[in-house]
Amino acid sequence: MRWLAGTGALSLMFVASVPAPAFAAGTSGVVPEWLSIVAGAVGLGIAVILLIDAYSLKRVAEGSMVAVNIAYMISAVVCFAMSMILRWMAIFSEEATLVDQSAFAADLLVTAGMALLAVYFLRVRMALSGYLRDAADLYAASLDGDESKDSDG
Amino acid sequence: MANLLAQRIEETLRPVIGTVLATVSVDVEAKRIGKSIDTIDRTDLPAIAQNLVDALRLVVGQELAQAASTKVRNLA
Repeated sequence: MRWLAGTGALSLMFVASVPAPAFAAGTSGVVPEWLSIVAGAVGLGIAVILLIDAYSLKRVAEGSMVAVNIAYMISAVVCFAMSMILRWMAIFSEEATLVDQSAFAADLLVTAGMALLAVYFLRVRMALSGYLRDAADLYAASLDGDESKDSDG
Repeated sequence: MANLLAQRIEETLRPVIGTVLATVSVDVEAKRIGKSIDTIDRTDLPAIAQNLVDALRLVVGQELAQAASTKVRNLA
């Protein structure tokens, strides 16, 4: 249940930070410019907290599968933060071409960030699954060994 | 400097909980059975493995804790 609530909150946060809806809203005038800027600042603040947490986790869990692959997650957070900055460039820029280009680049960075997160979770899951598989094989082998000893005795 | 068996237990735990926690876990589990990381031997492995399940369950969950314990027990 706690996991579900956490996933929901994360999803909501992510959807709110995706540039496309924010950009569309900004151009239509529904969302005031200051709100976009504040949202971006909050996003960057959260990105900094995430980076600090990720680095701390890397130090605490150094050598573990979670820490070994954490560079992917850090890169993803950097992508999201860069996307925010590009979004700001789009807000402050008066040149239409630059606005379009930075909006497109921001979208690409969000996609890249999601891809990096996917790689991170995939690699950790595969590593932990491999560990479980190895242990199961060892357990089965030890059971076989005990049975052969019993039959010999 | 820990003995070879303690180092092997630490290496077994490292992929799951990392170097720092693995070192601390081996130290704690050795003390829990009344020994130190220098004096543990193969006969202590079943007891250490059993205690590790309880210790690791909170950190990595039942399944991974059981897997790590199995690997430690099979170091004998």
